[in-house]
Amino acid sequence: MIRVKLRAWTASFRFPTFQSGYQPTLPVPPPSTIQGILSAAKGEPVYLTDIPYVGYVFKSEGKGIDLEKIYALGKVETDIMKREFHYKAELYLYLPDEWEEVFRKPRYQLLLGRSSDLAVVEEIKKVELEEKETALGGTVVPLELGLPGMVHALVVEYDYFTVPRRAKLVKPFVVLPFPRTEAEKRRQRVRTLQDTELGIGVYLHRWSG
Amino acid sequence: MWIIGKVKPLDEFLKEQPQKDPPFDEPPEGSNESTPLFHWTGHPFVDAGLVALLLLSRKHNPEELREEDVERAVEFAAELYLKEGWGTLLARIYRNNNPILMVNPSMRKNTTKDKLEFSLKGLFKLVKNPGESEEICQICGRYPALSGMKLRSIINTKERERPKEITGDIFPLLGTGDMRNYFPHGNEMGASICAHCLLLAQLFPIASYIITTRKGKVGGILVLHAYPYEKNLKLLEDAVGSARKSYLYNNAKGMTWPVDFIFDKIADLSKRVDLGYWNGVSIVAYYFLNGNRTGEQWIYTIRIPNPIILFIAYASTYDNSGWKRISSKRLGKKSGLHEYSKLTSKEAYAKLLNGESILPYFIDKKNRLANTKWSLLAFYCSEVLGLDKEALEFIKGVADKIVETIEKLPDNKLSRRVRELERAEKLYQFEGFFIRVERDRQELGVPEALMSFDDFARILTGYGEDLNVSWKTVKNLLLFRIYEKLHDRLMKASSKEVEGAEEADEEFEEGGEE
Repeated sequence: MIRVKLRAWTASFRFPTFQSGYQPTLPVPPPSTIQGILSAAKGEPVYLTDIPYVGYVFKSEGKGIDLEKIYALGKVETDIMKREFHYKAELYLYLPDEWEEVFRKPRYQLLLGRSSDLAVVEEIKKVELEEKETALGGTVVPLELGLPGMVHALVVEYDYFTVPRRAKLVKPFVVLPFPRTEAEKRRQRVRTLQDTELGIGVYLHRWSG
Repeated sequence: MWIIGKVKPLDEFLKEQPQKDPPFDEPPEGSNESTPLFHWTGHPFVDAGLVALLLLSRKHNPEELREEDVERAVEFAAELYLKEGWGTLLARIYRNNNPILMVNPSMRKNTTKDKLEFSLKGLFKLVKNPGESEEICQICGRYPALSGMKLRSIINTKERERPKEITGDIFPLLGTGDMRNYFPHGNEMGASICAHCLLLAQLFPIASYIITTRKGKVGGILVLHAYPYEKNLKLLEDAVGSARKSYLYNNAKGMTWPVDFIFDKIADLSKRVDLGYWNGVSIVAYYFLNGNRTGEQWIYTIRIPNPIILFIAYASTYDNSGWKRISSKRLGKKSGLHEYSKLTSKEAYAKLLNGESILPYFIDKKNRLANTKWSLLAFYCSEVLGLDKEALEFIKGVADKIVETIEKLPDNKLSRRVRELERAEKLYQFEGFFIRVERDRQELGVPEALMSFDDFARILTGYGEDLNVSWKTVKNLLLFRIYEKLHDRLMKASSKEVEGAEEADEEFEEGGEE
């Protein structure tokens, strides 16, 4: 398994149905953003349901609110909206080995949210995860895991074969922010795989069935 | 269909790919009892609509809902939404051109219960017979998305004569039809949402709390969303109860701050349930407005982590008056940097939600008073701060030894010694306090040392790795125990405080020597 570390100054993950006026960010990227990153890196549509497993951990140093000028599609008009964003973001992706080549030379630019949230590949490393009792965080996990946290319905993957794209798989998840304190770590504990170097649990999603 | 300039080659590339059919779950087959009509989705607005439906039907699980329940609820909603005040409220939730609920003032004057029922029951027919679509609902992922054409067919207004997208007027906080930027790939038809989720989204105002300004105007709509889903029924039952009993929306007990109301709600519920009721429960509140006027479209998400829920529940049932003292300090003007400062009037609430320590609020330095009992403090330290129980017991033991020593001192010296601890803002001042207490022990002939060198190191690092935080936490815990045990004597000695104050200041300047 490899771990790809992406770093970006800013990141923004919209709540899928809060799309008007003020746009708050989710605490961590939804699976569809991971699908977008993998697709951009590979240069073709990638489906999480075709990948044997994928895990991710996201953390940032804080949040802010940006005033953003947007240009209306299809007409000469602009608007100003408020967008919440993460500052100094890091995303660790856990993927099968064959993804190493893809991230060595990403085909398109990698984004942690919108086009202004440009990310760079900082490190690609082979890692081995250990199974143990550990804290999960900076990711989304299925409800069945029984961890308390914010529950929200999220798109797992979009179908890119159509324009506009369509949601292909939608599920409710527990959205777990990266734990900041020992207390938070304790409440997000579960038996799972751990990245011992980062000291955080990694939940490997297996949507391939 | 439009052309996206330079992206055209990608479009061509995409067209070459084999088309895949989106996987639909089995659609519901009308009133077939084995297939529930409605489901929990994970979306706060849709799930709140389901809570409204369940509570109006006096049922607990979506599986128990029958067609007649839905029809009765729809009839009730049609009647309710025509009552005074609801029109204005609905315009804050859906923007004022919701054609299903006929919110627009120009429609409103001709609106009748029959017309609202027609539209809502029409939507329910689409729930039972969702038909086919190439898209699945982006909220539940279960049913085919509703097309604008189909939606038009069930609307009983002149809106049916023109295209109607699934936008912010029928589902709060989606984009507008005029601004395609807000939809994936600029979809002209708005969001892909099914009839199931759209119908529930028309009902959720019944299960919402309305935060009003002091003048009684709508400040924002508060939707509570909990997991496990069943907890939503208890959290929202007052809102649905107000609508059912008096056709009024619930104004959140007149509270003008959403966080204050949520904390009060948890405390109130906790009086009727065991602490275990909250195990593993998390609550997220969505506080929003979706009006037409500039700047009225906003939303705050307020996450109440499980340990905070448990702490509020424990504090309000175990020592409510103490909890009130702890949380009584109001947010000042300088607190504007807190993420939640616009949502609460109380400093402790904002700090709790921000993940900051509220330990200083457990003590009243001015009156040298512990605001609550040690057990509540211990619960807070253990559940919210994550302090190891052993470390806490160790600190308590040290505090008790300090009390055992300084209570033997004369009043003025006792008061001065405590003041040294109160005023310790630097680590050397904190260390100096222990040295003086140790000396007191020797002078008073108290057997055994206050602590070993190892214990001393532990007290500085026993609470986390951040030295600057750790010793101040320990200091607050020690002060709490001292106030708890020696409050009466300390207050009696307070008249001598002024005299001793200058002397104590000098002690610090001299590096801690008496």
